[in-house]
Amino acid sequence: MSLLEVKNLKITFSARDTSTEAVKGISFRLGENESVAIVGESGSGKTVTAMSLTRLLPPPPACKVSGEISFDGTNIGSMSEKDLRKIRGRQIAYIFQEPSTSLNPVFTVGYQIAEAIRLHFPEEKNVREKVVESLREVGILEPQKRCDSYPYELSGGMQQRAMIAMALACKPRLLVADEPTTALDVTIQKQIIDLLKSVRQKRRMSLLLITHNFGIISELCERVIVMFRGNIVEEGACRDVLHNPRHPYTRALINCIPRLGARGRKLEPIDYDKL
Amino acid sequence: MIRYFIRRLLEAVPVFIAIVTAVFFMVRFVPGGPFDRERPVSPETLEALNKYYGLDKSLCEQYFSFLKNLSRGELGPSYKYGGWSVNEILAEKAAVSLQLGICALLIALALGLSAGFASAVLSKSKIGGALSGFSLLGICLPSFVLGPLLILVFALKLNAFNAMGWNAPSDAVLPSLTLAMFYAAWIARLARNGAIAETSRGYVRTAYAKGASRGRVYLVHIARNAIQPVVSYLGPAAAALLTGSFVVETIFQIPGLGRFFISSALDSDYTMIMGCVMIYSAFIIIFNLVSDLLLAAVNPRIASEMSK
Ligand SMILES: Nc1ncnc2c1ncn2[C@@H]1O[C@H](COP(=O)(O)OP(=O)(O)O)[C@@H](O)[C@H]1O
Ligand SMILES: [Mg+2]
Repeated sequence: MSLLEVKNLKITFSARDTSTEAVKGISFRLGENESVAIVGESGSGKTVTAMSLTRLLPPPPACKVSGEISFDGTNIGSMSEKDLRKIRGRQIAYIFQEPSTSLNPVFTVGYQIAEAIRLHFPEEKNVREKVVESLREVGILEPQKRCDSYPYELSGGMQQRAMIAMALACKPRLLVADEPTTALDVTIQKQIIDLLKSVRQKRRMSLLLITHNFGIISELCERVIVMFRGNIVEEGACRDVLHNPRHPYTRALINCIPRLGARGRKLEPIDYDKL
Repeated sequence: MIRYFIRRLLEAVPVFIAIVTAVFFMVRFVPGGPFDRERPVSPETLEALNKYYGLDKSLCEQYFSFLKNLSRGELGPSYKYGGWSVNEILAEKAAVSLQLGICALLIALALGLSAGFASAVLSKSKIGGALSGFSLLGICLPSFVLGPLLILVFALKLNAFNAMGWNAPSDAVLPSLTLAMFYAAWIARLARNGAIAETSRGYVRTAYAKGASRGRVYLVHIARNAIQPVVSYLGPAAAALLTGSFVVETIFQIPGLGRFFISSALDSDYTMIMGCVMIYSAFIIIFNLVSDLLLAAVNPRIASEMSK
């Protein structure tokens, strides 16, 4: 049985008189300890798909979600709000795109990580130790001191590490990383990818990596799902898809990967009329 | 932080002196003097009065003797209330206004914050809409309408309170409610708009994503961010509330300072005007500083900027 199973997921946003179908009936699975990437350009529905996994989208009528999402055999859609809170952070944890806005500016990093631990392990005595430990695990130097730092005192890369520490603090079974490197400098991007890679090696944990960058997936993921305008257009092992893309959109995305040493090769803009 | 505090106070000194100086000369350029009554006094008496109070001297001389007295904390005699010094009047009346103002400030904060946050949490339901409608009403309803209305209902119909006067502690209830209502409504709007704006911020999503309940997200995460506009507003609000209100003190016959702000100006009671202006500007300066310090307590980034 897979850890996560999504069947015919549809997500529709309604404003006063318009409604847009952001996700148009997608199905996919994710196994225990498996790492899968969802790739697609901006607006293709990756983030809303990720959010729907723990029902983090706005409630109806603004946003309607249909289809079936089951996590470890339980149906997320029919869960009570209270049971859902036990899944969020504890079973499925998130890292978001913008570390600077994803952390609360008026609380210390340590407090925010401790909050996650306290929510799910209320009887835990040594919360501070756990926080320091989780900061150390993501490679933050002087974790004792950094615990008491406010987000604005950290660089973007450090903030994202703190976010990762917070997500990992409760030992989730599935980590959803929504464009974890998009807002960061290229050198920092590499560090964060390496960090995620080492975490994956150390822990038994599934990873759903969301990105628009084909370049970073082969290091981290076994399988890739390509999304285009709310649909899955291609799915397969990373290697196969990278070397032998079947869908023209996938081909176009792969052509956008900047390669070192590939001088003279022009970046091709995607020609949507041909798709 | 202490250095910041002292620096701000020192910066305020020239501002304070500039205000005092401007008002000192402005009131003296206004036609009419403190001894022009309905019943005219004889020129000899007027001359004697002016000489007695030193008003026959040149403006410059008057100004320097005013500054000299001020440096000793002396504000001089009131020209209108013979036999009373401005210091005595301020001490006695300001104490009353201060009590009334503190009650009103506490009511405004308690009412405003709870109504504001409640209407933000319930913003999609009817209750939230009703609360925000009430706060609009509170802003629009002038105290000279609200005060008599409260007297009519709670004093005359229900007999729960005295209609006016300032003798028993319960006498503070109706006037402080009247005084507080506008500020409560304003605080409610600030808190509501702040909280609603915060709900779409990224950290709110993070908080939900780690399993926090709605109550926790609002009370811990959103509240501390959304309260910042209220804290900034607290400075001017406290200064205005604690120096008394002409309207409320007149309606409820309260012997406070508020009435002197208007009457001293109408009477050209120069020394009293200076006293009122100084106490008001001092309150503004002090409470703005206090609200900045509170803001620093709420927002660490502002605190770190202050300790630079
Ligand atoms: N809160 C929202 N209200 C209305 N439409 C939304 C909202 N969030 C996302 N959408 C729509 O859903 C589509 C997919 O968005 P998203 O999942 O964020 O894309 P991606 O993450 O792939 O860049 C977008 O076209 C956007 O218009
Ligand atoms: Mg996105």
